[in-house]
Amino acid sequence: MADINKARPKEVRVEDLLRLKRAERPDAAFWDNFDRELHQRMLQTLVKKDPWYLQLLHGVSSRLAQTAAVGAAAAFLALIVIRPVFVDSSESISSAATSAQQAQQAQQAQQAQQVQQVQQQLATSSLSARAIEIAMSELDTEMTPDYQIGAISTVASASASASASASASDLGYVQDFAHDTFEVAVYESDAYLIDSISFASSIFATSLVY
Amino acid sequence: MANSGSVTKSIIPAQEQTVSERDLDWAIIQRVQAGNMGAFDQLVQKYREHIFSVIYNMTSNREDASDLAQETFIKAFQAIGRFRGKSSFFTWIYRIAINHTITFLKKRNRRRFISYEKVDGEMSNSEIFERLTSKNRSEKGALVSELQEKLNDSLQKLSPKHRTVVILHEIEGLEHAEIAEITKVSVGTVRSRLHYAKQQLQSYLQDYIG
Repeated sequence: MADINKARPKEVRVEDLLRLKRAERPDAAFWDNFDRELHQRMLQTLVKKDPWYLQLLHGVSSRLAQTAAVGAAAAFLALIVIRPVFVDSSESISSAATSAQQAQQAQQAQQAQQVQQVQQQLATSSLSARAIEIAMSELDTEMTPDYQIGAISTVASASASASASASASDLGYVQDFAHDTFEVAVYESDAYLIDSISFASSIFATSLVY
Repeated sequence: MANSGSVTKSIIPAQEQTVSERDLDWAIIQRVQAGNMGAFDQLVQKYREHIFSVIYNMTSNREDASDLAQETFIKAFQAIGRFRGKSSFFTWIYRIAINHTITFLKKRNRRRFISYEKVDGEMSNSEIFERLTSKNRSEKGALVSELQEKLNDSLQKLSPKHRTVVILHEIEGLEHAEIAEITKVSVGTVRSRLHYAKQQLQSYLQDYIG
């Protein structure tokens, strides 16, 4: 049996052929060069600085960086809160003055426009005395261009105040207002003065009621 | 072990990867992690031939294999701080080498540059080679070159996954379980790939088999 096996050569298998690959080995000189190159490359790796994104990644992952990030956030918030202190005060004053001036100019223009509107309404004479008074009261005295203050004597028996007294008596109030004079704004036209006086007195009486 | 003379002894069999071997590696790694960079050289000396062998058989190019093996050790050196010893260093560095090589092969795409390693003199004196010589009745020197070319060419025809399994099992002598751990697939998958790869190689190398 043993002689038969010995006489018959073994078959070559794939595994046997592949094991021959183990014989492909570099010599000692190759390994010397390999070690030298490897040491150089490892030294370069140690010296070489990582790219910024890797540094950032490492930094973010570390606790120290987290603490720094919290500190930076706190500093940023503090800067936002304290920032007005560092702003130049003269700049803020000048800017405030400029804005105030602009606002005043706008206000003046608006008031002038209102005056012009009142003038137009008076010219048409279609407004009632009450509307004129309301319109006049809306005007700012500072911006009213050429008002004249005049003293007008009032007489209780005047027909102009008749309506006012009547309304007061209806309410059961004693008409005890005896103003000698009323100071009213006299505008260009004197035609509506009497009406405005009577209207003013009626308003005054009403205000006394309340 | 790395500098042993015989072909078979130069391979680390799976059985030799005992607990004590793993502990020895872990002790060296701890020294490296503690800042002793020189200790890493011991790991390089121990595993450089195996890493080179795997990469060389994967690429069939000695220059590429040298570069990739160096880069594998550099990668391991850079990442050794994160190595926690869950797997053996042997498994870990093999995985780095294979992943790095497969990435390289994908980048290289279809371009192939063959650069064979010198065949060890013991190959021509091996029993298998004697059988091949008697079977083919060809001159030893010519047969060595022919067989080397044919073997490398056949391996390159396999897909990287199948090539990896064949190289690790048939040339490096690793167990199925170890290959499964390195390649992160199941043992069944390893066996399946190995079976398929052998069938393919059998068809490529049929002139030498039998």
